[in-house]
Amino acid sequence: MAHSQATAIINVHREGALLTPTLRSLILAKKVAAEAGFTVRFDVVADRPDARTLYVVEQFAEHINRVQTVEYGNLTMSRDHGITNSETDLVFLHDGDDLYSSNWYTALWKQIVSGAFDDNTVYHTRLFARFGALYDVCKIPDSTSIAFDPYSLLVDWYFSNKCVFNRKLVQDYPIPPIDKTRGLGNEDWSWSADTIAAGVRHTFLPDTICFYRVKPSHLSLGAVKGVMQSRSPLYETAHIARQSRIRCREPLALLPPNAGLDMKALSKWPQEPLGDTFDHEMKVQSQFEPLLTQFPRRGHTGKTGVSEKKMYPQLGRFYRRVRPLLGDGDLDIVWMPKHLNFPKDQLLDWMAEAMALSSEKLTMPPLLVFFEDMDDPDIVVKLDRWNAIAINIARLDASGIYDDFQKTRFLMRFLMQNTVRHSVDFGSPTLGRLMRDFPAAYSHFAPNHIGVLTHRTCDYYDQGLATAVTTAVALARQRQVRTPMIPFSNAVTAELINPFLQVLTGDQDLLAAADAVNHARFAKALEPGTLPAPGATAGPDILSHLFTRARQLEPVGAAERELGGIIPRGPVLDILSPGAVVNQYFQTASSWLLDKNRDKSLVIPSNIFFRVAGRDQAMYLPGNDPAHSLARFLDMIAQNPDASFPVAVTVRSSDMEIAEDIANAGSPLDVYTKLAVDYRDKIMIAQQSVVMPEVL
Amino acid sequence: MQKPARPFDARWDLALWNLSPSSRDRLDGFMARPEFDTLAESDNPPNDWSDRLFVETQDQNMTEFLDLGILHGTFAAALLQGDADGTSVAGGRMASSKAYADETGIPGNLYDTCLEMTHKRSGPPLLLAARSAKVQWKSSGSLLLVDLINRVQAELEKGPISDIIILPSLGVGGAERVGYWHYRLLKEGLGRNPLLLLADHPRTEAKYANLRAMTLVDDAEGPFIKGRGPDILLQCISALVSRIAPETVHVVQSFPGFLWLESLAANLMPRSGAKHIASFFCAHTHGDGTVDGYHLKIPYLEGILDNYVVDNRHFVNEIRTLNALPESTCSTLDYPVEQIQPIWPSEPMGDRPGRVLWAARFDHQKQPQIVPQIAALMPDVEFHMYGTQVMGDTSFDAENLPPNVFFHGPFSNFFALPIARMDLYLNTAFFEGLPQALAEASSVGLPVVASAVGGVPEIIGAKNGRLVHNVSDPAEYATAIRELLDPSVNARARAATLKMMIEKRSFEVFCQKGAQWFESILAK
Repeated sequence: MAHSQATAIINVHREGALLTPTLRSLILAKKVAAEAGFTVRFDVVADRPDARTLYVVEQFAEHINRVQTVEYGNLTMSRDHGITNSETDLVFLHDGDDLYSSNWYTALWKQIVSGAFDDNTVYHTRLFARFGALYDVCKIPDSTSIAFDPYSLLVDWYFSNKCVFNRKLVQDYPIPPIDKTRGLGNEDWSWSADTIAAGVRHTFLPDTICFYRVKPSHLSLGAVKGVMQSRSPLYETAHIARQSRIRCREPLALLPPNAGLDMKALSKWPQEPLGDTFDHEMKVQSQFEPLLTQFPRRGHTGKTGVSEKKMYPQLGRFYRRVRPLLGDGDLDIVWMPKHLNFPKDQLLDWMAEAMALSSEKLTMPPLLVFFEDMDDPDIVVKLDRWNAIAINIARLDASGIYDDFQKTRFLMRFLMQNTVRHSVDFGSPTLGRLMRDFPAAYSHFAPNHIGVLTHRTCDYYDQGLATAVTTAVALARQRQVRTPMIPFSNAVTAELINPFLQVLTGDQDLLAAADAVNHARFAKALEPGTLPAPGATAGPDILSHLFTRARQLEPVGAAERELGGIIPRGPVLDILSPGAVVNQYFQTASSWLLDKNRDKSLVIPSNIFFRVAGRDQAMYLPGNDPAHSLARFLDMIAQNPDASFPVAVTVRSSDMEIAEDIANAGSPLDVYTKLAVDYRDKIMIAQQSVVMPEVL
Repeated sequence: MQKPARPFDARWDLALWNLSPSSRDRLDGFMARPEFDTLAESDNPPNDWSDRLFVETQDQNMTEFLDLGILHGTFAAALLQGDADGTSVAGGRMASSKAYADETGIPGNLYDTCLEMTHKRSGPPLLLAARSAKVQWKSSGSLLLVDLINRVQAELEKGPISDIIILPSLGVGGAERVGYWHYRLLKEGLGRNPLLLLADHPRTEAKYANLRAMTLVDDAEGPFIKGRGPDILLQCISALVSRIAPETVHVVQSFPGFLWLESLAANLMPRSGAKHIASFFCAHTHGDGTVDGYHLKIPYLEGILDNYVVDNRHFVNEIRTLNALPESTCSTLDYPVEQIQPIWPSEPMGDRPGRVLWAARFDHQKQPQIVPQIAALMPDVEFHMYGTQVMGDTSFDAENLPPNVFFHGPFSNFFALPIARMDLYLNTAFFEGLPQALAEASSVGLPVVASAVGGVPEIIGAKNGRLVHNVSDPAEYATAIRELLDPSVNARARAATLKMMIEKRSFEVFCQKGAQWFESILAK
């Protein structure tokens, strides 16, 4: 027999009490396996553990063969460490907070004894039952099943690291490392794509269950933003082409796995009951983790039907069609919001030319345009004039080929499989969302982001403008270098004072050039044969110079990062939170109010803008009863802990103590609590004045 | 009497209805009802509901919806609509209301969507709700945080506050009782200045009226602050704790209190310098086998808790086993009773039928349905049952009882029962921590026959009562009852009970042990 024992590698970090049910569950499985004649060693790899977690490990010392303390601070590396140092070739991988059915080890033993174990296969549990913040159960598919579409891996995770395999697989196909700085995670997801592309099979052991803990969502606030799976050969043009060639040429009987990629998804197949094992194991494991008793109440018992995890065959089909058009090399991307659908062609003309001119190679790689136009019936539009592929996000959304929460993950794949030369944003809400979902990955995989503002004026209420600036500021915060921003209009340039933006302007006026093009176009329509007006061809030239300059990024200065605080302004002091901007009217009004009302000491603006989940909101504070207005506002702050609220308070220069008291208060909630409680009789609200957070 | 209006926030109910394609008509129907405008002034809410408990028996999502304020409006709608059979919910209990169950039957396929929306929820109402001008948005009315801060300042002007005990309310429950004993320990035993914070509900029983207590929200707000969700609750507690800066904060069975502790442990809230203590009570096993209780939150609390305190050794061992908690962080305290004062039988035993007192909730946990079975085995003994259903998770047919079982309905407190007429107290629960009723029965010297579950063996032994090990066996109960109804055995048991209570459960003993416990926490 090739394998007579295995090692369970249990990676721990700071699980604390959560590790207890895991270890108790695994010890039971180990005992059951031992009774069947199969030895499973326990290797705990503790990566920068805390004392509490080590204490829990110590409580189970008699069952643990080896504890290795490492200092990687990286799950992939500590897992690799465990695999490399394992005394057996067969390795089970475990995290420190999940539970397993008591037959998990025995099921592998049966596979070995029956001679069915394959060294080129990764074995998972048959059922994957999530518990904690949510309760659901799905079946793990077999990657060689004809109805499994590997391209569903673009947006969903099918094969977790709760698995067992011969460790030579990791030598041949290393697990892609987690890299937070590049926004890469989901190492098991990435590894499944890499291994499936290489022909490794992922399948399940019958009747086995992984109970996977999902932490309560209300405790996940402020958690690390989304991470992407790594670049993978599975998604490359070459792989798609090879698969497609094989499907076309090979006789049916010789077709490799997944030949029927266009078959109905496994998730659409009839459901099967979870089975008695589920009921039994739920009871057994709930001795260790009482939360598992919730499953029947949430509709999951042995009699409940369950499908394989949902798959996205249409999405795969879409990707396989678009990917070859883009190739795997350089790529330029333009993000076009819907308000620019009318001048889209003209802007693309300029962008394509400017990007080519600013490139040292004077080449034009494929241009990928994301636009949003419900009036256009097509999802993919080939724009040969610019060697461009345009994807209509509005239509793509409406097609329902992915679920809404997977949208940005899918789009991000286009950035990751190519080398993005330029990513030009005109204020696209889709890019705004992508930036919020995957800040580190976008920052890394789109190193040349340029914001372009076509607006004539700086309108506080313009969503397009706000979106472009928000994205740029978020990017600058992520990278700690200023984000280049090219306004067409000098009026916008004048208002766009923000420490996170590097506003680029040329000697010539882009707006004038754009106007000249328009003028020429209409003149041409009226009188064919008219020559272009002077300046009509200047746009790309100006832009290309600005694009070149955009590559020399200036760091965000330490002082600028902390901008805000107490700022003297003549006879008054402004107290501003970092990045907060007030309109000019507030400055005039606050000085005037302090001058006229000697019994009052502080002035705040009446319109306070704030941002919740990327959406701008505002609250109006009536001035007739400032204490009441502030009390209402305080409740609004308390109800929106994730929002960023700006602070703008003006006091007289002689009231430095008040200014310092407010400036040192800490969070906006603390500041407004002070204003609403301690200074409620001293405060005035300047009507028609505005404070905005961070942008504009 | 004008009862406080039931708080509700219809925004999320409307959103949920709006999500369901089949619900539009019903939604429009509700919106058109004139009562919807004036619901907040309704003076007829049911008087004995326990909606959170009820909802807990349905589904965890439902609990979450309720906590986030979603279901209050749905309930209000059910209240208005009445049952299909014409019985208004207002006249009965929501636990048994078909209308309520129907109303809250959110389609399964919407759970995740709704939850997601709920989690992403930010203050302002949804568009649909914003358009419906007829709905009275109660939650935009009164002010919370500033009001609370002003009340805290007023409280601080009365005198310093050294410790905060966060309780759900000052109602009749055992958890409230534990909070009360900690208050007295700090105040009388240690001379400190504790404050009770009633975080879930402003209800205060008359007997607790003299304690120094603050409600998180005023009477009109009610639990969970009118559906404004937990965020603002957390900010309120945080503001209160930061203003008071107490040396210890002790959370006892309060939902917002535990939520706040979780947020502290997850670094979502600023930490204070206080020591944090939490009381845990036995796990609640629902009729469907689901285990519930705040102890399930321990893995998410351990970063902040300095001490886990439990009222019985059995359960402290359970939470230690489940979580591998170090012994040094877990404590057991034997809580006292108000007074230890024997009540002797008003009629001598022997010349009359024996009388057994059963007084508890008519819920799955307490196993009321076994009492008629025991009674059938001993027709010469009277069984007097007091109580009412709270969870609605078991059925009890009060109409068809053996002639020796007497069903008397609800009772307000243990000492209002005709204790002097009774010979022993019977407890038939499937699971227990350390039931308050047993301590109270023992405080008057009443011998006890009880199922040997949880912490019960810590207070009941062979001298002062009988333990039943096979908790579902009527015959074993009958044997135990028969033994204790022997007059001489009964008299010895009464004496032993009183002796045990004086030795272990007097206030003085509690203060002595409690002081050591508290000082050990401060010294850490």
